[in-house]
Amino acid sequence: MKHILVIDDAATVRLFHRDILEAGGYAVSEALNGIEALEKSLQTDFDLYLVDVNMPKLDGYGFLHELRAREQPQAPAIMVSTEAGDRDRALAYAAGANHYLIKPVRPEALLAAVGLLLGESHAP
Amino acid sequence: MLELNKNRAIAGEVLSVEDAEVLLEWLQEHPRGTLDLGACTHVHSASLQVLMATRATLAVWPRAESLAEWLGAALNHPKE
Amino acid sequence: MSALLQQFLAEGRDFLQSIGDKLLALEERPEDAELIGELFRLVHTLKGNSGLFELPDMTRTLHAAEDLMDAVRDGRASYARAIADRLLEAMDFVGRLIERIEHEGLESIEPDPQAAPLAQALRALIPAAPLAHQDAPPDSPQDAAPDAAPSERLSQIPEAERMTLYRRLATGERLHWLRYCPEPECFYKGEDPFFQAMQIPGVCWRQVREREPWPPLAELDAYRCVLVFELISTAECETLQDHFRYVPEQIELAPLAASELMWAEGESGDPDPALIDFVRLARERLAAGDWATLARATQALLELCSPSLRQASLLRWLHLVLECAPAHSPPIDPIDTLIEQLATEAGMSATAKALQTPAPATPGRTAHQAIHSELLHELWEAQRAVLLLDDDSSPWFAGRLRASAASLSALLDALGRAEARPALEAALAAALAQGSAAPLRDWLTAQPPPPAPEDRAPASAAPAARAPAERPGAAPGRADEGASPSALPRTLKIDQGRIDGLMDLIGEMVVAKNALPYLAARAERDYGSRELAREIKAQYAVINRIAEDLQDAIMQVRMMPVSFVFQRFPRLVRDLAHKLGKEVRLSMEGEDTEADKNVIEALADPLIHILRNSLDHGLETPEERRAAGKPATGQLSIRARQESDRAIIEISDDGRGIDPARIRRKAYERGIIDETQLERLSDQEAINLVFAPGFSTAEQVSDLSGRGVGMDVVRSAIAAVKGGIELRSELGRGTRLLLTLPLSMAVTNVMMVRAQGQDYGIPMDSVVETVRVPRSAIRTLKQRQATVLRGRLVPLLALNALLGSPKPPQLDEAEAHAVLVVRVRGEPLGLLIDDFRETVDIILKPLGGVLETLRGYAGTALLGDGSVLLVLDPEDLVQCSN
Repeated sequence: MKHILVIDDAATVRLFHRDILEAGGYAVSEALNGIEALEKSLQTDFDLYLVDVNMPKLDGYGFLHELRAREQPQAPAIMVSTEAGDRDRALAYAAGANHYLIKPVRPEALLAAVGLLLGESHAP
Repeated sequence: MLELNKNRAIAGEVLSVEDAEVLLEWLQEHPRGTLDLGACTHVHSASLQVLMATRATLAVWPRAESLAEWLGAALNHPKE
Repeated sequence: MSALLQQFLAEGRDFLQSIGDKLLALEERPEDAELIGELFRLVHTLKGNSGLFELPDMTRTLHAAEDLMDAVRDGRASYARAIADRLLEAMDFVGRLIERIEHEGLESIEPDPQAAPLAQALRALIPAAPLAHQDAPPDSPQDAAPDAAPSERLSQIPEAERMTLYRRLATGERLHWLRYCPEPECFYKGEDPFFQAMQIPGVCWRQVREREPWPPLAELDAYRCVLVFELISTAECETLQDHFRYVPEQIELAPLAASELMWAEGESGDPDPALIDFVRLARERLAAGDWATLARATQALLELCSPSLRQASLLRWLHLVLECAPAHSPPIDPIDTLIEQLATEAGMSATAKALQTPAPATPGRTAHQAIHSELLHELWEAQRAVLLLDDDSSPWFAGRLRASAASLSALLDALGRAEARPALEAALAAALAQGSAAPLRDWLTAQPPPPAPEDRAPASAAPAARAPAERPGAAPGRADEGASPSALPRTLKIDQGRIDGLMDLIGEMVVAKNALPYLAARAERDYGSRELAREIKAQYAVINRIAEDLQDAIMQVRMMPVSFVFQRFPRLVRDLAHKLGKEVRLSMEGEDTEADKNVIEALADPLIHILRNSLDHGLETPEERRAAGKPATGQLSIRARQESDRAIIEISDDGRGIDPARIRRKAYERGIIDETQLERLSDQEAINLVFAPGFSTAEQVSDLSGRGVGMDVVRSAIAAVKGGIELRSELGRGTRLLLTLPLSMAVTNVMMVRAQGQDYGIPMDSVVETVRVPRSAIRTLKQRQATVLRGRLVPLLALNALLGSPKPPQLDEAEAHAVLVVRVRGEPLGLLIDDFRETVDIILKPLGGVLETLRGYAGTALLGDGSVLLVLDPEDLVQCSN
């Protein structure tokens, strides 16, 4: 089972994402901020990261920077943001994100992106 | 040029910045007075504020189309 | 009630509480940027949460509050009582909504007439931002999803006008929205804003309104301009900017996105079975890509329902979107969103529907195939965008390439093109070796792009090989145990809550074991059995050792290396130095020094602040350094090491140092010290004044370090984890900060002392030494007592007096005072007490309830005999008695 780390400081959002991903057949772990996410990603090789932007202690950009600076296999990351602008999207890509979704995410859009980034084949 | 009668104020080509005070006074004294802006091609912002604040009634709208359109947007009722 | 909704309500209440607290705190410290940032984040997050449910009033109100806080954070609006009042009012409204949902359910929430005025009142406090969103290019209608609530700037435009504008955007025309707020005194500068506005080219919608309600006519000042012009123009951004080139700060300009226009007007109607049927059909037709049927059904239902209903408005939009779109590829997002909004109108919960949506790989259900292939395209192009970024030397550059290649590799799998993967891997290896994305870019260019939405192969052709490693029955969340038995990782992931639970248990055990010596004493005293007492003591020694080992073991689990915080510094220092035009060499040592997780996490912000201070104020520019005969490159070093049970972190620079004379003067000017202190303070005492609250303000506020946070905040952050901070500086030579931190936080070692016939605990962290001072050795200087210890004058204070008792401290048989020397603000201070007692390990509990505000106490602890020990905080005690 593929394992996804959901990083968001809002418990409600974490639960929302967890529900969607678990319904899609994925295992989910949670982190409350970038620091905690970095710590967890040292202990577990996640298959994908779902990253919020605005978090205390270490934000989504900071997390991606640290994660991508590591000498370890790099799993795809989806940044989830409230900002729809191209500038924010470009910033996310530069930080090391591989996809960008606007909050609140639509469950089918999230599952579809996760599926593709995990190399799962097209919908039947 | 602003011509003030008993019930009607008739504006010349321009309702100027100086006209604002005069117009405000007249509209306070004649709450039912109406305006004729037919010949008007421009209203200075100060006078525009007076028109908006007093909710003045335009008996005759400017013939200049662009001004009429803008005044309509400012006075919140479409030009007649 | 769903678990998600419950979570939302619980978290929402917490957030409202914190927001309220922070707003009140802000009244005291209106300049506190950190507080403002935190407040913004809370409101932002709460708004995000509310967006998961159909709660337009709540979301709209919070959105306005968020924008207002954003303006405060940017300095566009300055914090004032009116802002706090409006925000508190808005939060009360949100709180009432939350209560209502809690008691009557989500369905009970109806549009509330209070919401709009609340949001307006909040927005009225936001000054216009010049050229907001200027750099965001417009969305094409293709990827625009309609907003549930109108954006503030377009809320006045009637639907028919918006539809006209939408059509224009759909034909590829570019439109801009502009707001022009001339300044009140502009008439006196000969400006005529109305004339200026009328000259704007290409206006296709306009509105003129007053910034504030008109006063009674008698008080109207016609020559104070309160006009606001809002319009939409076909002119290019540059043209519009040029038009206002003399007053750029008075306009807001933004490209108009189709999605902003698309919101529904009208009232919600009664539940309509026809609408429910329509939504079911529409979802199905959307999935099947059958646009013609969808358009016909939309038209049919439109004719059936009253045009003033919200659902009719949504249907009109749906119809328009279908009509404007190219025949074979209507935009999926807005259509989907409109249908889901209709579902909400029909009483079909959007969130519930969302969670029931089948996973893309669930066989036998219709999936959004069109979305899928569009998405595949988007993801493919996203990786191209990543690879097209300029090569840089950022530490995450290689990781970014690897992640992008991993994503492409996954997309190849999804496309059934696994055979292309070796070439991709080779390109990645080449890219990493060259430190450039070029080989990957070349590989990508050579690849055929994924099939476009129109011509994609029949879905059945794709191999259905999902998640081969999946084991039936594997429990979610335990994936690492499953995948491959040969490479089982030897790490165990444990929830922090469990460790904390274990920690509490150990704490209780430490306290319980402390009961044994009392028991031994009783065995001897009350039962006269010295033998039993001896055996109990022997057992105690064994249990004590085990407890200590156990405690150490748990501590080890929680230990984290300081590198966790340090690793951000090279980048930070480099960027800051660059920005400040300084040359700095950062050296770090002892990164593997470990301390408790809480300690490490609490360290990040203070350390960053200290580094910023060093860079900003400590280190000189290369020219200044050369002029002072120093090497142009400054040295900044961070060293961590462990000394017995403390972690020591030393931050030093070879900059200009701190000038005690200047500090004295500043402190005097700010009223932190009086005239006598001004003369009497030693240089070191003067330097320590930088830790005084209110000291580091104006002069320290600069672009970088100055977020209004001073060294007092650093000191209290360190003190909060029971750490100490010491500052030494030599003028012209540099500054050195020494942080001493506990390795762990759970158990506190205290010394028990006796005063007024009662025992008190004093944390060993602050104890320097215990001495007995003969009465004759105590001198009285200016009504203050002091004694000389090892050649140094140490002030003395009676603990009784600090605790508010007039009783003089007792003398022992040798006419000497027991003196406990503690460190307060880095300086030794002797406390006169009645007698010393033993030291003991305790679990410190903060004072609760009405005692919480009591100053001078660190908390209480339960002793082995069941009695309660009051633990003092000497620093606070001395401070609040001054």
